[in-house]
Amino acid sequence: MKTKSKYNLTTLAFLLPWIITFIIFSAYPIIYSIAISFTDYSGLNPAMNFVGLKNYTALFKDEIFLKAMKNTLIFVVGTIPFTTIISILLAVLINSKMVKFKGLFKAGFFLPSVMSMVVISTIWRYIYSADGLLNHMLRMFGIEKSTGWLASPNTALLAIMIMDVWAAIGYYTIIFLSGLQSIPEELYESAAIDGASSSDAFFKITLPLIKPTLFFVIAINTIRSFQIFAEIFTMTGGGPLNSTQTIVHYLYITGFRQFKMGYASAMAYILVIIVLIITLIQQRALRSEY
Amino acid sequence: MRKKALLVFMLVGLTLLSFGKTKISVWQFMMDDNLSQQVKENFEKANPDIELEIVQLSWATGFDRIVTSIAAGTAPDVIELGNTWLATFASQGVLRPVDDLVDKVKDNYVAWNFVEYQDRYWGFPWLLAPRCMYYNLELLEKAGLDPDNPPKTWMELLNAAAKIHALGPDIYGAGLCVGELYSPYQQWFLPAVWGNFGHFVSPDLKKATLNSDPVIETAYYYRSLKDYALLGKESELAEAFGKGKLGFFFAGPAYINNIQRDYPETIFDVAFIPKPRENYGYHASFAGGEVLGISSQTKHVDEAWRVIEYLLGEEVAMQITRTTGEVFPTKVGIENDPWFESHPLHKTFLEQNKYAVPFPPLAEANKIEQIFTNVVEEILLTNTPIENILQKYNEQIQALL
Repeated sequence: MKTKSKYNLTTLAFLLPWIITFIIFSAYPIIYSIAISFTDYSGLNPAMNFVGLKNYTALFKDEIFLKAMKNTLIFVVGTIPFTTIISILLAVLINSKMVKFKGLFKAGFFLPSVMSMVVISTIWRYIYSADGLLNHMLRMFGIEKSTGWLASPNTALLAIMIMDVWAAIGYYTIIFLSGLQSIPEELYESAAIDGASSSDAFFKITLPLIKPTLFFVIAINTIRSFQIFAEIFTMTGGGPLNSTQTIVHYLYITGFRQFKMGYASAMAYILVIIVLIITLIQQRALRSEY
Repeated sequence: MRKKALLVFMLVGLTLLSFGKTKISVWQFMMDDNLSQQVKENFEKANPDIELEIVQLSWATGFDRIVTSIAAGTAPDVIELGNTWLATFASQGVLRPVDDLVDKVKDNYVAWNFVEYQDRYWGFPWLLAPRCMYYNLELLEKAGLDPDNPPKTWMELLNAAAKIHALGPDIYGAGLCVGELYSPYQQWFLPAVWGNFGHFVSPDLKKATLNSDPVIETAYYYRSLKDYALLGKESELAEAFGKGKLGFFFAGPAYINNIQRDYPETIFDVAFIPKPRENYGYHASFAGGEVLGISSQTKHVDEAWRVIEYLLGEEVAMQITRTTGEVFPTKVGIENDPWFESHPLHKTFLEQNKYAVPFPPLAEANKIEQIFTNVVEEILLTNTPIENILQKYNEQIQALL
């Protein structure tokens, strides 16, 4: 009995640093931000009044928030399929026997993942600028464009989506590669003996066996995409005309530029609910498969 | 024994001396580490009872650091703010009103309208950054224009931009800012409204007047200039100007040194911002600038004031001008400093400052700045009728007043 309580105390002692850190830096801010989402707290002035659900109801009448929701959904739906498909194809290609210098390709594709998003965004700003690389190339084909790609409401979100796909594929390619390498070689050999084509092997062996990896990639990419911020912050600031405004960026602007911290916190919890619902749906889908 | 006693005495003395000092922290954007260190040493030498801590903030994250520190109750004693932020911070009770201190130095400095909010003073005008018109001398000459006489009116500018634009597919008459916060409205649109004797808000700051005739006329003109313009972020336009692809663009003095350093082959000059007509309006510019405020959280108002008085002084402010070339001191008579004789482009900016107008002191200035950015982008990037645009945003501004 004594040994057990001693054991429990030792366990607690080892866990204590983490528990304290969790309470101070995670639990407390989470609870506090829920509380201030029901107030008119500005962030600058310590005074705050309870406003009930006013912040939450006001959000659904806020045109910019609704636009930010729409843009975020377009971003999620528009990037995830491309990121996933291109990553799988690249992983299969690198994994195949045709490709030499595999390490070089892996490192090359992974490079954007270890670069800061601020650096990536700065490079792409030069490509997309009014007098940038892309407009120069278009001019060679006789297409004159006097506006930067990030400065036009018709192209800004698309431009960021393309950059994001480019920046993300390396990381997911490496994850898919690890999934591919766990598939036994014998399966492909017996399929070849049975006369299966390469596409048969891909759709009937590769794809079903990397399904857990596929679901993992889609799940984490979905959460990451809903939280898109750095790209918007460094490249467009949500403009022009809110065409690239996303939920997290609008939350930041509302809290730190317009000093409506209570309202911004309500936005954060709407995002939490959206991500939670989507994650639950994905988990259900996973459970039904396995 | 005697040596030991002396040592103990010295240690105790030094400790007491350091405890006796008042620590004043200054969070600022304009002074780099070298200058900050120099300022700190000189100030502490003259004020041995104060320990000065100067923190340099970056433009990317500085604003957030200030806001977070205020929220946490750990605000610095002295804060540098952009003049457009002042009214918002004052309205939130973040700054201490300084009417009592202003009287001591009011006659020595200009731009007190930077720091007024609801008939009180909330800080001290520190540095000026008006906007001017940059123009490429070579392109003007190629287009058959007189490079010694840059456009002085809107129509002259429009005609000159059209002629320069006709020089080639890769050449643009002018550069107009879009695609980022602030620069689209600050660099010229709002100053153009002011120059046309217009305002977006009534003098008592209670009624939005964005749909008034002078604003409508300015918006129509701005849209007509678009036909000859490259549209992009300010930094993109500065780069295109440096490469010799833009006839005109509007910005603060920050680009003079950059363009001269990065594109030495581009010959350019700066001039006052054009006014509506020869016999109507004025060369209005946006009065950008930096102010120093005392945090309402500080317990050391007197010491904070002594630091501010030192920073406002010609020695420090002029050193910032020499180091950055981006801002000028607010000191009365600063134009007589010999530095401006050897920097004629900067001198033009300083002269332009006489026609510079600050953003109205509104508590909701930050939100209205966002709206103004949208106004300009909608004028330049869409074909929506001008009256509809101005009416829509007029209602949004009115809701915030």
